[in-house]
Amino acid sequence: MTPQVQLGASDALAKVAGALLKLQPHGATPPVNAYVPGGGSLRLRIWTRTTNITPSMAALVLLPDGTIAKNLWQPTSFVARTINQFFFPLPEGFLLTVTFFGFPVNAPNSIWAQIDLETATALQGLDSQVLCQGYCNQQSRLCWPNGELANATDGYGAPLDITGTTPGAGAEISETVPAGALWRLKAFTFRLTASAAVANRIPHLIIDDGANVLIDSPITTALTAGQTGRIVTGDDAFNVAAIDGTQWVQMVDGMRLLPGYRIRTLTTGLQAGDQYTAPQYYVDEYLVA
Amino acid sequence: MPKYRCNACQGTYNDTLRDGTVYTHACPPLPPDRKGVQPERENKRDENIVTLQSGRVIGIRSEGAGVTPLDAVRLPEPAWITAMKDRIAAAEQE
Repeated sequence: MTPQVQLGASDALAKVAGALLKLQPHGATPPVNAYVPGGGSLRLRIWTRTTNITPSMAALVLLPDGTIAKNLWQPTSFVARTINQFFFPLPEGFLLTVTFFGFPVNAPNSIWAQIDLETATALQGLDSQVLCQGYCNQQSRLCWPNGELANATDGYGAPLDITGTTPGAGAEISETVPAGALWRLKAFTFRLTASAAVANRIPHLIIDDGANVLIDSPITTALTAGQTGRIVTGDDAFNVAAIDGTQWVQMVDGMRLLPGYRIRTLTTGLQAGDQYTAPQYYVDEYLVA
Repeated sequence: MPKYRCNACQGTYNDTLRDGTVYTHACPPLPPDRKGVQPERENKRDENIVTLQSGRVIGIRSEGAGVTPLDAVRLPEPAWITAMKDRIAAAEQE
């Protein structure tokens, strides 16, 4: 028989007709250690850096009458880099399998999901059993049983190639690690075009925690009136004087930047008509609450 | 990728990256004063999302002086922020 599956809004459970398994409600041996009492539910929590995703979660439940109910849910409406939480009520029975899949194209490690089984609302979720959690990609989906329980900071993260904000004339560059993200800075570059005003410009690359400076790394060759220079830094970079208009500034290796940390410039001798380009930078991002 | 100008710092930015990742703009601090302290702008815009410990989303940290759309499709603010506000409003009605 073809299982009936109901999608979306109704989230109703559909029974498979003609099931061969018969479960005795009293004294039955659980096939899995996920007994769902009446009033239980699956809680799906999703963190994502994109909002245009269409994830799906499927579950098989063995009902007391021996039939297997197959369910498919497709939550919608997401806010980026924060908790998106959904509850899906379950009937009494044994949860047999859970599968989660959903991935944006060309954006690896962009969804981190956690599925847990809530058996009582009285404890406000504190008694929940985490079934599976981890990043979801085209080659990997979350599943239970036999799925992974990965930490959100496991693996290589999501490689992000970011074009930042182009500052106004005479203003500094400042990029902030978003709320809900942890970054490993891999590369950072920008250009400064000096106006005709006579002055020596010395851009410092600053990393701070939103208030306190952690790293202050100046260039070694000042830019003068009318000059354009590219400044580059990256993992374990060291200072290199200007070569063909490009110079490197020193940076530590594998620095992890927490939400609210900033990568910015602070320029000695910056003039009102000087113009920074938008910074282009490359980070590994982890979705953290 | 719609482009915006921040009315506070005059910076310009796209609201999403090429792969669909949401970009959150936050204004840079002002130049340092005599003591070397860099104050924040009074009308600073900060698009980072504020979430309570319960998981409830409050909104972006600070609207500041708002934004000006620079593209032909003149959305008044980044689409992801509008969608988030709609979701917050829907949740409050529930």
